[in-house]
Amino acid sequence: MSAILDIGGVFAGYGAGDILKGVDLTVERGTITCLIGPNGAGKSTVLKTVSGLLRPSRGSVVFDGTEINRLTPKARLRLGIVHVPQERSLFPAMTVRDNLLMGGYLVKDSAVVYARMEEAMKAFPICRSRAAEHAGSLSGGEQKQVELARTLILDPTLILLDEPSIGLDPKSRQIVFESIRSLSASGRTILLVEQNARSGLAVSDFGAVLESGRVRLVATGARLLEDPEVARLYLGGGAVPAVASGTRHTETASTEEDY
Amino acid sequence: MHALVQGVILGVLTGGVYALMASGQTLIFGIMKVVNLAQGAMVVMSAYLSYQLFVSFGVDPFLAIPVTTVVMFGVGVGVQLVFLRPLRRDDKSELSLLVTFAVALLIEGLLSITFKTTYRSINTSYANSSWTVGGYQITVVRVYAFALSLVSLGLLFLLLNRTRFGRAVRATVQNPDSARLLGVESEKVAALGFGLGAATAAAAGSVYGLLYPFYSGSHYDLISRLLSIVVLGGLGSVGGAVVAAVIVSTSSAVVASTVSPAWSEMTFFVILLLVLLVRPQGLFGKVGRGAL
Repeated sequence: MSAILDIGGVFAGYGAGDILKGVDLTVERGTITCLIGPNGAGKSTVLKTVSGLLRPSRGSVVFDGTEINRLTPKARLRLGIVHVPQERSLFPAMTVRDNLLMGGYLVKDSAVVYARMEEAMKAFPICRSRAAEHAGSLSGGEQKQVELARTLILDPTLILLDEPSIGLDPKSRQIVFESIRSLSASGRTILLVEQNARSGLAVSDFGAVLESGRVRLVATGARLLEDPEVARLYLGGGAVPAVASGTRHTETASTEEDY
Repeated sequence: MHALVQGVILGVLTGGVYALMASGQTLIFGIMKVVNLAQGAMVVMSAYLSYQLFVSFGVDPFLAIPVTTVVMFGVGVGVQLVFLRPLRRDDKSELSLLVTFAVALLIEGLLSITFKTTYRSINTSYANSSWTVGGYQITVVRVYAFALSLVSLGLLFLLLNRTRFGRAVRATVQNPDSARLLGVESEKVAALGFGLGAATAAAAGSVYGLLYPFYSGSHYDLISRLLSIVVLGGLGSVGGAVVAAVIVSTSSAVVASTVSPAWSEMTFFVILLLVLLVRPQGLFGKVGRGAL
């Protein structure tokens, strides 16, 4: 397993002061890594520094061996880094089909876009059955599925998912997490921010605890779920056996804890 | 009854032309949240271009449209890049009112210097021709103008709904942040969108020059009508602008032909006020962001 993303000593913020205060995080290729932590810890800010919406004031972001600090968001998209923000990001008065096509805006060859749209529709059948409907008429869970499907049109290497389950009912949440697993099964790397830490870790290979702008702990998702301290602070209760929660435990992964 | 039907025919045909002018106006607002007070001046400028091509080279105003469209597209892109792009994002909508009004005055000044301030009109061989259908007079120019408006609006619809650029424009209108995350360069879309809005003024200008005498200051009357139509239809809604243009134009024409031309202008604004009392967002406008 090799690193696809290496964030080293990153400081970043929105003007008043740095929110990220020396973030170090390595994301292994083909895995799901879940960032958890309290509100204001900087989880979404980490995603923004990777997608280029925010430039770090210090530190480096290395993607697939290349430092990308100075690249524009558009250039990072071309490299295969796709960011799905926390807020609804579909175009509500456009059809589901047009929303998917917008996912391939940077792909010049329309034949490639249509072929990928076909694949996305296979992976997310809701996109085919509701293709001609306005995206705004879909439920929250359905919209999130279309957002995930739209990422596939760019054939991404790294998908940044910010709070994909926020505001969804339990059934929709389950579907979304299953979709995330299937995205990962197709070989894509996923960096996930999830307020619902228990569900996020359950679907992830690795978890990282972010607190006050720094990564405090990195371990497998299973180990974090079993950690009583993590459970008390971030999971709202006691630890849960990995098997019971359906965790993707990767025994071969490097799991050193780094406080 | 005869006057009523005659009024409806005239109103619908004229409404098509106003729909074309207003579609550009609302498109620009939808993309950039810019109320383009220069749209009327751009229509008048296009009318002068058509006039000059007709007088100097004998080019029919309808045939001149491809040329004037390219010129006005360039003017629109230029105005956006030079005058609007440098505005700060925070107060762009407010400042754009002043800036586009200044552009309107600039265009008016240049036209006054070049063509003086005397009224001009484009007198083609068919300018005064009309058909009589079932006892009703239908002027040839208005029918041609209406057909041209339908074709132009149809092309605009296809451009917005069937092309990659059109999708990017609609996406930018509906969710600019998300569009940027997908690689859409909003500044580029804004410049091209402004150019597109100005380009609709080209076809409208040719028709305007055929239908009415005009001079460099004609844009004041035009812009008040266009703003009323755009607000009535719902800011940012092209379909709303088309419906509003036909409603307003038809009701004005009906009042003019059945009551008195003196009340015609007032009808226009009474309808606007009544609709806004019931639907402050206009007929097809969304509360908040518009949707093309």
